Formats: sequence, structure tokens, C-alpha cells
Amino acid sequence: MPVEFPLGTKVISLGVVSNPVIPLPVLTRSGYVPFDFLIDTGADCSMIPASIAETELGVKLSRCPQDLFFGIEGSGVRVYHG
Amino acid sequence: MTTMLATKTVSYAKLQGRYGGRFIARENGKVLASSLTYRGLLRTIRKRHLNRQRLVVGYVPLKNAICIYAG
Repeated sequence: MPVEFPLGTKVISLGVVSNPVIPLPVLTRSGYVPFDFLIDTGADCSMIPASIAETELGVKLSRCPQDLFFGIEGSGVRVYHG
Repeated sequence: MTTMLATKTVSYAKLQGRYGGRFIARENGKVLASSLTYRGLLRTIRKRHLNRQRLVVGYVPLKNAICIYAG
């Protein structure tokens, strides 16, 4: 089902650019609560900050397998699979 | 059939000056709490007795920061 939403913007050093962020409900320990998500059709997977996974979803990061995700900078970011 | 998103979105461009680099919690487009960390935001939400179910939480990128997302 297609969904329409206003295209937001943000300011970067090169000027104003599109920032397609929409609120989506996430099932947490407190019930469904909305979080802003960036719409990125080129992303391989969806991710949330580790602090949100721990506090809102009750994820035990110490028990999750870890990996390195690489971006254009090449140095890598540690991620947890959940 | 296309559906319009029911929840109100917000343009981060207007928020970056004051909230850039911070987690925010907003309701009906108005920012009710902000913090440098998510845990700090939760503490502020609890302190102000805000209804978590009605708040939309997001992170406002720093003004002028360029974010490159790897595909």
C-alpha cells in the first residue's frame, strides 16, 4: 500500500537538502511508540541506536553477535545483530 | 490507493539551529524535550510526566553536517 508524506529538509554545509524522515510505530516494552526513521531505499537493512535497543526493546547487547558495517569512510562502525 | 501519513512530520531544517546533535521528543510538531543522549531524553520525559506513547522521538543531525549512508 503506497503512503504519501511531506518531504522534510535539513541544512548541511552545501545548503538545504531533502531529509525524508517519517514517524513509525515500534513495539517496545511500553507498547507501541513512534520513532523517526530515515527513508533510505538504498539501505541494505534497518538500524536503530544501541541505546534505544537496550532501553526500549530490552535487548541484551552483550548477548548479540557483533559485526562491522562499512561506509564511505572505510573505518567501520560496530553493530549488533538483533 | 495511496494513503496520506496520519502522523505529522516535521522539517529538521527548522530544528537544527537549536536541537542539532540532540535527541528530541515532539508532539504535534512541537518539541517538548531534548537531550544529548537517548537515556537523558527518557529521564526528561519522565521528569516532566510526558506521555511517551504520544511523543515522536528522533535525532536531529548537526547543522551543516553531511551524512553519507552506505548502501
